[in-house]
Amino acid sequence: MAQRSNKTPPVLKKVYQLVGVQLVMAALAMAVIFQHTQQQHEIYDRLGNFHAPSIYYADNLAATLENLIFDLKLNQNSPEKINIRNPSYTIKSQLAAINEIIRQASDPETEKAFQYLQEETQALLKLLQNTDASQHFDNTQLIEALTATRFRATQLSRLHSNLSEQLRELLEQLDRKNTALLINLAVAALLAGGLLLAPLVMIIRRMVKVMEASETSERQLREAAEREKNQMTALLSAMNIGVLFEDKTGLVDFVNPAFLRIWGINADAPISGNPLRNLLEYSPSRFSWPEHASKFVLQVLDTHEISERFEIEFNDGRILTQLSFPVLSDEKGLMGRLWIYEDITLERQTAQQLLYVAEHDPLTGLYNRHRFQKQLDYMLKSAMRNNGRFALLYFDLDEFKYINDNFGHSAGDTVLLRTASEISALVRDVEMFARLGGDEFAILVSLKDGQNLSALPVRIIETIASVPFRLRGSNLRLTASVGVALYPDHAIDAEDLVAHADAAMYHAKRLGKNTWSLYSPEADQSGSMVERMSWSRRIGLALEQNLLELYFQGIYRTDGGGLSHLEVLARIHDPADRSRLIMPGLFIPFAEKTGQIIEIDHRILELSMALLARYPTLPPLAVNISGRSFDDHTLPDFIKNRLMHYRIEPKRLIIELTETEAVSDLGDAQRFIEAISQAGCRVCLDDFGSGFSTFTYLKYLNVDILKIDGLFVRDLKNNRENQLFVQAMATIAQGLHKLIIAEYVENGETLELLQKFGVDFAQGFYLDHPTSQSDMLHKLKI
Amino acid sequence: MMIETFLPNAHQRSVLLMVLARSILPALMGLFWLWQDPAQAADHIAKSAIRLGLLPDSSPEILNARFKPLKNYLEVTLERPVDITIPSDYNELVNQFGKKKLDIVFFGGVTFATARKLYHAEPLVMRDIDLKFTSLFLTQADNAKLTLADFKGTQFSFGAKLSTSGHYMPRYFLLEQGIVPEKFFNTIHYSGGHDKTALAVREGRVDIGVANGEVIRAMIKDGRLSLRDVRIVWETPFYTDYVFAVQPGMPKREKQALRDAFLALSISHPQQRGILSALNAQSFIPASNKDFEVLDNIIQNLEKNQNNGSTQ
Repeated sequence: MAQRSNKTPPVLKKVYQLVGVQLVMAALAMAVIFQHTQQQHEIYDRLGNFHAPSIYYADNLAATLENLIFDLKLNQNSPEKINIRNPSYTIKSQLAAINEIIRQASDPETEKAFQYLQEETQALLKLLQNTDASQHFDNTQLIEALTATRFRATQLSRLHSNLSEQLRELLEQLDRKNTALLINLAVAALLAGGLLLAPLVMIIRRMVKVMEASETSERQLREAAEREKNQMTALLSAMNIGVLFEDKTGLVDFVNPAFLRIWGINADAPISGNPLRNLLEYSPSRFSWPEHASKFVLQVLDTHEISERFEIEFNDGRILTQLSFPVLSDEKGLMGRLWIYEDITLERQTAQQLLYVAEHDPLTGLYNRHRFQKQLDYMLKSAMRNNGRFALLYFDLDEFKYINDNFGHSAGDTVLLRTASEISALVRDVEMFARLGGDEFAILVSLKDGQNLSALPVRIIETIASVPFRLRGSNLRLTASVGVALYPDHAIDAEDLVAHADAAMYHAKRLGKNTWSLYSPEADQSGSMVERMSWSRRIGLALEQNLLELYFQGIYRTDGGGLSHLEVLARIHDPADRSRLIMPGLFIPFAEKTGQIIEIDHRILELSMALLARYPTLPPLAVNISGRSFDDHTLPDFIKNRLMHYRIEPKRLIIELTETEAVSDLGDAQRFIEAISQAGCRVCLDDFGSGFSTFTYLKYLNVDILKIDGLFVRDLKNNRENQLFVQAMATIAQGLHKLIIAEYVENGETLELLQKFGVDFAQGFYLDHPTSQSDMLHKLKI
Repeated sequence: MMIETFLPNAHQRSVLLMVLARSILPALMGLFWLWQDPAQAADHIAKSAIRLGLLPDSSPEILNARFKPLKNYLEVTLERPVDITIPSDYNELVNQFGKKKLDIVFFGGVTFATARKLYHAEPLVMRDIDLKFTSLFLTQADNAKLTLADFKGTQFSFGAKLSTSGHYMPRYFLLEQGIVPEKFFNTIHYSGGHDKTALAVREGRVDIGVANGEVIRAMIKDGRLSLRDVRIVWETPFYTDYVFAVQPGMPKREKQALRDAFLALSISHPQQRGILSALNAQSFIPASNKDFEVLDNIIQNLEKNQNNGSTQ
């Protein structure tokens, strides 16, 4: 640009040349006209001031003399003489007038003629002087002199007249010549102008074309920019993230509606062009940590880097994240900064909830087994390091199964809830109180040196015994048995500690229930084998002695209520006390830990398929497979073989997988599910919704059926959030073309809701209770 | 970028300069010319003879006699010999002038107009009487007819066909009165000279004739013609006749010297009175083209009429 401005643009150069040429031509024309005017003036001057008066006076003199001659001739020929005045004075004065003129301008052409006139006049005047004025002029000599003088005057007049004529001709010639000259000049100017104008016109033409082209492209660019801007504005308006753009000088350039919403700023507030800090004054929101916030919120950054993510907490509990990006342009460097605000309150809450759900028992709000296990491991490590001591208390309610069986799960839940809340009051914050499953609770208590633990178990027993439960109109009092094992006194690893606490609890039960017992090896030895048995031994014995029994619970269609299929539930008879049926919640975790679960899974599958083969009219059976079985690459082949062996249609076998297990090793789960599907069996995902990213991994797990975690279903009619969850899960299942089952359906209202939400199948006490094989066959009339 | 191509290249520049040179230089030269005195061209007067041609409207003897004093005067005054040429007829005079065999010629009105039209003859001087020429219509003194109208159907004579006063001017004035000679008169003669016309009338060979007023008056004055024999029927108004004209290329100084010699003559000067009176003049006066404007028109009109008449 700078370079170009130093040089005169060619267009201007051409214009200057054109103007220059035209100016030179105009100057020449003016010179010609000026010269011509001067000559004209001179000629007119000569004509008017010299020739014309000369002619006039000479003619006058000639006329005077002519009259005189006429009068004299008349007097000569006629007898009667007229009186003639002496004309000397007139002639003299007329000659003087001529002289006056002639003297002003010398002229060689007329000089001689005037000289002759003067001579002739002098002679005439002399003659007139000699003549008496009174005498009659009858002298022939005088007439001759008069005639001669008269012709001299005529000569002079005619000479002047001829000269005038010549001058007029000269004038005409000059006119013609100068007119031609001016025309030449004009033509030359036009030619030169045209010659200069032609390239100039070309230049201008191209410039106009370039301008038009650039205008078009500019318009297109502008339209594209406008379009982009509109799209951007729509996008910015539609998104939930607050966006603010500040320019280089730290003034607000743009904010989107979400920004105003997040900060609670009125849209009418003056925003653009204000400094950032002023903007926040319009916000009614107040920071929870004002000093801290003011240091980081909208801090001015000179760097061209992306800022740290900063969290802003408001008094009203909302949490924002702040992030700022430099906006860079290719040419100009930093154009400003983009500030992005996201309201993460809900996400944070959800995350917290999920964490809570993962670590807590949904029914009682106590820590769950998972969390308990973690805490136990932690305390073990900690105590090992610090030579500390701690106690593990195990307790359950002595007649809980009775309540569950006779009053339903709801009644059981109420009992558990009440128990949890009563015992929680006895437990200090530093102590951990967890529900491990069923009516089984555990407490971890750190012990100081020498401290013995008797107060807490006693109070637990007393407390539970003192709580009145009102169930279906009858008052009940329950009792609890507590077992205590100490670290490091009784065991130094978690499994033993748990087993010993469990043993202690069973010892207490043997002692008559409603009491507590500290683990003692002696007692263990003196007691029955069973009580000393670890869980692995107990499960091993049960498998050896075929103590596994199958129970069945129906899964029904929500639309018509018809039976769809049956879920197979495992029970084992306690090898120590065969009348005692152990629920899967108790033994499965241990079996999983010891790896015995694989054997259990095989046994249950074998039993189920045998049953399917034996009763062809039996509805399909759903068998639970542990996550540990994913490692067992033989399982899919085993299933295939047995299906072929029994000639069972694969559709009649449904494999249920627990969600949390499936997610823990997604790759194995995927492979396993794929293999099962290939065998022709359907796969059901159990406890759906209890894991973290419930929906995400659905993409990876190609299952046919989803079973909603009972946690969401049990209290569905009263829990609005659970309704939303269930509804969402049903929608997703439909979208993914998967069937969906709800378990723990305990009343009619829940079933109605499920029906409404589009859940395909239901399972639970409202529909039926788990039944033994014989009862089931009897009920189905097979 | 493309701007480079807009700059005039060397060829365009040279074309521009050429056009400028062709258009502006003549203009500049014209301007320069204006400053020059056009009258500065140097000339020299050759001491060669001045060749003077005379209109043969009278016999050579008479003409020679009349012009002898002027010839002598000019030879003395201009210090150059003067050769007088009298051609056989009017046409020959114009031809010889056209061939530049004559430097100065004493033309009649019509011959001058012709010479001027064909050869750009320049009028120099004329006699005082040449501005006041008339033609006279003559008949026998005893003819009873009084006015021109009375002469219808009679025999008529002009002078020479190319004569101003013997043919052109009389014909013009006749036409002015509504008389077309060829229809009005019975027969028309062209006598060939003023004196011949006068004699033809006197001898009764024609009823009426027209001739130069000056010539007739001179004839009467010197007795060659008597008013007892002829009578003047009508005299025309004044018109211009006779002029001394020179070649258009004659140097200015020579022309001026010749003119001054003529103009110097005065009747008040005893030696010069004879020169003037021989030519029937009292003085010479400068002549101009303007003096012949009327005659030019008349000639043009007559020629037009003649052409029309001949085509009919």
